[in-house]
Parts: sequence; C-alpha cells; structure tokens
Amino acid sequence: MKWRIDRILHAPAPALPVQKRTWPCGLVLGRPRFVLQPAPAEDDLSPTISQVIGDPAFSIEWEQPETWEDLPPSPWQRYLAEPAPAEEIVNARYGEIALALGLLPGDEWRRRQPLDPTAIREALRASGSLPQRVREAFVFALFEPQGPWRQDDELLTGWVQTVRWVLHQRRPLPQVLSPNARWLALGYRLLDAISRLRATRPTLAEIETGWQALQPPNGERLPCMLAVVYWGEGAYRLKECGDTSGAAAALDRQNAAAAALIELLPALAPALDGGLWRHHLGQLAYYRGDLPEALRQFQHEWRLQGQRLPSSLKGRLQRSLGNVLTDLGLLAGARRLTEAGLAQQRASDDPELFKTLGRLGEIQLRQGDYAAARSAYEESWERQKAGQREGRTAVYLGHLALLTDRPAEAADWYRIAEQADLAQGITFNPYRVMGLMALAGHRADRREILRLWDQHQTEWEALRDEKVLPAAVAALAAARAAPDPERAGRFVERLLEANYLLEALCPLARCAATPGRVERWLQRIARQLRQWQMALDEAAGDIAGLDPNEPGAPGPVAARIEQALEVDHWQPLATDMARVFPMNLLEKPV
Amino acid sequence: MGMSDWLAVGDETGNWDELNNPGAFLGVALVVARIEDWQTALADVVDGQPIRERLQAPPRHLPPAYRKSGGHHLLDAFNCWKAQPSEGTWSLAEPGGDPLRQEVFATLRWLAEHPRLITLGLWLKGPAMRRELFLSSDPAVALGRAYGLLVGLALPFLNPQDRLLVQPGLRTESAHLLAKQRASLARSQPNPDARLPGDLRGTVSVLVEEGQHHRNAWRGGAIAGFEAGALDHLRRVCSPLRKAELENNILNAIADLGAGLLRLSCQPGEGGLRLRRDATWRNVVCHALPELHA
Repeated sequence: MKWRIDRILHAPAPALPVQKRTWPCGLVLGRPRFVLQPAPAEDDLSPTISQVIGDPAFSIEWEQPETWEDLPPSPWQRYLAEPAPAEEIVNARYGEIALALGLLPGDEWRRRQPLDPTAIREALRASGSLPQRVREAFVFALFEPQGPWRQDDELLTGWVQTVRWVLHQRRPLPQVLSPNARWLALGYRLLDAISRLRATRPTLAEIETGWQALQPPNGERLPCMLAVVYWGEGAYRLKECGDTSGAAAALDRQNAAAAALIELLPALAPALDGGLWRHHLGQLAYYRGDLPEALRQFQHEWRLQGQRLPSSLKGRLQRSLGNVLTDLGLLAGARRLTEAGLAQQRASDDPELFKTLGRLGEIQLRQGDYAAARSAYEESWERQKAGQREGRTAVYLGHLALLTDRPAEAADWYRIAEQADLAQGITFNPYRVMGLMALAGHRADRREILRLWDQHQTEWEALRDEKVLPAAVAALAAARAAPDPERAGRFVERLLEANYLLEALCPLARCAATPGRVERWLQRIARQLRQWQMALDEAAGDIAGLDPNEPGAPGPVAARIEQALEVDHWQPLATDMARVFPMNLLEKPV
Repeated sequence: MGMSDWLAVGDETGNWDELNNPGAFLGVALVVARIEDWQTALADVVDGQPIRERLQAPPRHLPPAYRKSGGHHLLDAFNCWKAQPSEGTWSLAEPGGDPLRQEVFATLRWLAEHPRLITLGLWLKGPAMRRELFLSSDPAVALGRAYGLLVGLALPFLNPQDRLLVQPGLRTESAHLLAKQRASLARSQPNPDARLPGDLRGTVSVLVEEGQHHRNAWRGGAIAGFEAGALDHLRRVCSPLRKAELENNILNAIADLGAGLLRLSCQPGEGGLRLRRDATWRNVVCHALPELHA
C-alpha cells in the first residue's frame, strides 16, 4: 500500500529564513508475507513480530522492495534529507502487517491511501493489548484459505492445504507433523484431535477432555481461534451423532470463543462469518427450530460467500440452506440448492456426499417423487462404508417402501437399519420404531402398534427437540389404534415448541372434530407461518433463485388455516395434512 | 513574523548570444537578500573602503588599458588576467602579491562570505545541457528559464508570506532593434505599463512563467510569492524597495560579482584563473543545470 511520509527538504543556504520544509512523499510497501525462515541479521522488524506472535520460527518478507513515489521534483530534489524518517517507515511497515492480519478493517484503510503511519499507529494503540491482538489475528490467519504466507514456503503451503482438507472438506488428517514452529505444531495437534473426533461417537465430556489435552502445560490461554475451530467441529460431530443438546453446548463454547475474538478484533467479523467458522450459528438456530433466524444467518453467509468460486464451504452452505427451506415448505428451492451442493461434492468426491444424497432423498420424498428419492437413498447407502452405514438411511428406505405400498421391503430395511444402529451402539432409534409402528398400521396390527408404543413409553416421553417428531407420529399411531384421541394431542405442544407446525396439524385434526375446538393452536400456527413467510420474503432479496411464493410456502398454508377456521372444517387443509411427512406414513397409500 | 520583501539581482556570465557554441560556458547568478539586509550590506567597508565606493568605479589596480566599462565590471579584470596568465586554483583568502588580484579577491570575498547576501548560481556547458534548458534558440527565453529555476529553488525557503522581487541581468541590445526604440520612446512617458526593452521583456515573461511553474509544483504547503522586472519597475510595485534607495549600478555590480564567483569557481576544464570554493562561502550555492533540472 502507499503511505504518506513527510520528508525533509533542507534550505540551500543558511541565510534563508526557512531552513527546513517538509514534502509529502509516498512510500509504497509490498505485502508482508510470513515465512518459516530465520530473519536476516539486518531485519530488526521480524524479531519483534515473531516475539509478539509468540513463535520465533516466523519471519517477515516483503513481496516487493520498498519504493518511493511523489519525491520532490527539480529543483528541490537534491535538497531532500537522507535518510528518510525511520520511525515513520517502521510505523508504515507495522501498519502493513496489521492490515495483512486483519487487525484493522483492510478495505476501509485501503480506500484511504496514501495512509498516514501515525494514524495507523494511533488506531492500533486505541483498543486493548496490541501483542494479544496480533497473536490472536495471526492464529486466526492460520485457518484462513488465503493467509499472509509466502507462496513457496512448503511447510506453510502444506498447512493451508491440510486445513482445507481436514476442516473444509472434512477428510481425515493424513499425517500429524510436528514442525519447529509452535503454532503450526499445535495446529496439527488440533487437526489430529478433530480427526479423531470423527472416528468415534464422542460425548460432550470426551470432547471437553480432548480440548483440555490441547492446553499448554504452563496454563497460558490458547488463542480464541483454536477454540472456534475445535468447538465448531465438536458441535458438528455431536449433531451428526444425534446429541442435539451436546451440540448446543459445544456451539455455546464456539460462540463464546468467536465473540471474544470479535471483541478483540472487530475487523475479523466478516472473515469469521464468511469463512463458515460460524456456519453453526445458522445450524444452531435451525436445530433450535428458529427457522427465521437460521435463514437470516445463512442469508448473511450467502452474501459473503456469493462472490466466491464453488468450494466445499459453499456446498455446505447450500446444503444447510436447503435444509431450512425444506422445513419451511419450499421444496422446489430446497431441491435446487441441494442438487447444486451435490454437484459440487461430486466434483470433489466429498466424503460427506452420502449425507447430501440423504437430504435430497428426503426433499424428493416430501415432494412425492418417490422413485427419485429411492434412487438418492440407495446411492447414499452404497456410498457409505460397509460396517459404518447410518441406520437412518435404511430407515428412510423403509419409509419409502411403505409409502409405495411395499410393506415386506419396508420390514427388511427396518431390520437392516436396526443392525446398522446396533453396530454403532444405538439401541433405540425413534425413527425406526416410528416406521415399525406405521408398518404395523399397514398390516392393521393394532396390538403390535400398542406393544411398540408401550415398550418404549419411557423413551418417547424423554425425547426432545427434533426427535419429538417420531414421538408425535408414534403417539398418533397409538391414538388411532387405541382409539384414544387425547393421546394424539399429547405431543402437539412439544411439536410446536420444536417448530413442527405443519406436522402438528395432523394430531390436532385427530383430537378435534372441527378446527374451532383447537382454534388457539391453529391461530398460533398461522401466526408463526406468517413470520416464516416474512423471513423468506426478506431472504429472497439476497439468495438468487429463491422463490418465496412457491406452492407449499408457509404464507398460503397460513391462509388455508384461517380459511379452515372460518368454515370450521378441516377440508381446506386436507391436502396439506395428507402430504405431511412423516405423518403420511400412517395413511394407506392410494 | 511580519512579511519581508526580498530583492534578487541577477547577472549572466558567458556569451548567451552564442547559444549554439558547443564549448561556451554559460551561467546566471542571482544575489538575494532582504531589502534591509541589502541596505546594511551596502554600508559595509572592505579593506578600509566603503563597498559602495568600491563598486562605483573600476578596481583601483586595474590598468587603464582594461578600463572598458565605466563602473566596476569583473570582465575588465578577467581580460587583464587573460593577458597576464595566472593559472591554477586560488583561494580568495590567499590572493598572493598581485595588487589587482588582492583588490578583486577582497571584493569577491566580501560577497562569498557575506552572512546575509545569498548567491545562487546555475551553469551549463555543451549541447546536451543546453538542450535541457532551451526549447528555442532565443537567449532571452533561455535566460528566463535559468533565472526562473533559481527563483523556484529559493521560494520555499522564504517565509510563506514573504515576497521575492527579481531583476534578471540587464542586457545590452543593438540600438537598431525596433523593440528597443519603442521601449526608449515609452520611457519618456513613465507609466506602469511602460514597455521594457524587447529582450528583457522576453526574459522576464519566461522567468515569471518558469518561477510560477515551480511555485505550482510545490506541494509542501504555503509558499512565498514573487515579482519580476527591471529595478525601476520593482520600485513601483514595492514601496520598501523604493524607500531603501539602493543604487542600480551598485546592485548590478554585486550581481556581476555573483556571476564572477560562479564563473571562477565552476568553469570546468578551462585555463586561466580558478577559485577554490572555501568552506566560508556558506551562502554561495552553485549548481550545474542537470543538478536542478531533472
């Protein structure tokens, strides 16, 4: 960048009244690059910086040599004092490093060129401990795709690729290196710990133990970014393993670390969001059931990611957004995004491709495109390693068989699912038991339905968050079998708390002969659907291709609820209720 | 600090009418000081002789045969020295036994070591240097640019509210030139718009243009202004100068000394007498053209 440095011009003769004048010159500095090499003896800046970042293995190099611009023209040039003011130049160099590390908002300062070295020094001193902020920013940069590293430094280039490989693409760490550089060595240990989390089904406590094992023996506090990375992965893994409350606790840890980092370095906030380090904010809201908030978070990320090339990160965002749209009822939009994410994953042979196929299958299932859904789930099943397959995939294949009136095949898939779950230590999969109860319904086997309900009585009651859905379906099945309309409504409140609005219509219709009897609930559902519609309308401004008014959008459903209330008949909602998955498992296929 | 008016009086050395002579050494000098410092300086006494008196007439030890000018003109002494070669490099402080040299060196030394009078000099030699300064072969234009460059050099180092009054060297013109005749007519009817002789008018206009060009290029904050013209004109625009009663011939003789210092200390590779620039010449600033004109 270009820095304004006032240089001194000497008067040609002592009898002249003004003996010194300043001339505003431009000092153009190349970008600073960190490199894992000892600093040359004459470099007095690198030792200071490496001391501040706490890693003597790093030194600074500059992409281009310093050049002067706007030097005084003739006839004054030969009266320019040499050397140029050293303190100002040093301030400019520190300023470049601070901007490269994101200690100050780079875009804003770039616009101000030529920059004033004194102003940047004051800005850097203005907020809190500078060494701590430099260290935090440096460690943050280690996890960025384009950090201030020299491009031909093998160790650093290798590190950046490993970050991409392990964190963005979620592949296993190929090799744990232990380089001399302290932060890199710790970084590799962190990636190793993350890689290990994926090989087991860890509990929150075990993840905490893993975090403690990374702490330095001298009690020194690790930079925030390491916690952002570690707890982000911890949350991701716990969610994968179905531990929603554990995931929420891990996300709290990640959020706390991210908030601490942003408080120290506000300029990093966009990079922190855009880098998907806080992708879990949207995911957390999603799992909390706060769909408008999830949509807002992903919309924000979309704005930041929109300009970038397709990448693992963008693919992940497309998939997450697809999930939210699915729950909001925008199945066509969800399908487009999920298919785009899938294409990206196919191009890079992403290890999580099977998950996206599962998501796509669910959307297609909800759309009633059962053949496509089946093909997606089958591919997902095939892509998973034998012995490590998710019972969930087999459960969905069972549901599909049921929806297409192939009960024997459904029974086979539920059995396969049970084996897969057991191989992973899962003894109670509520979705599988829900499927078994629906299968029993197909066979008009009321005793089996009630047996399954009674057998898992305690488990049904204990289910929370998104798992209240299979519990509600099971309760609905048991209510029909008993028959016991009161039982059908037992989970309505919990469904609504978990934002299963459309899904709550079926049990409501089961326990109330006319909408008027459950008006309070229906009004609440309609109100919330309207809020969802507003969030969608807002998001559509940023997310190209999102049609907030496609059939199945929450606004029209709210209108039909109001209509049902007006005529005090369930008829206006008949089609909606018939298509609500997984409640529709209980309906005999036409 | 209040505003000061500064006066710069110039003179040329070398034959500027022979611009195309590749071997010619050409120079201009400006002697610059505050008006009150000029007054004080003109009251100085050198070797028991008031400087005013010393500069009124040719050097006392100049043989009558070399007294070509009515007043004090170094060219006469140079011609004398050419006839009686005294080669080598001299210090003004050590003139040796020759009385003329003693007398002329003392006068030059008065200016070279003066604490208040500043001598700015610019010289050039050879076609390459000449090309840098002249776009035309008109000596008036070339002189204007040379003086303007020196003015540009000095302006930032005056106080920003100061004013520099510049008289470039007056040149003798052929009496038959129409411009000279018209100017002579105009002088009989004094008014501010009276025309200057053609050559001086050309020089002044280029000087103003060149000086203003440098003034505009200055990016280091406020900068002093300047006026240029013959002394009579400058007196009309500046009452302190009018009131100072500085005699034209004395001022021009001092400018001649400035040009002499430039010639004797900077002329490269020439035979004849040369001056060593002593550390005591603190207010003498001489540059070859490429040093100031990149």
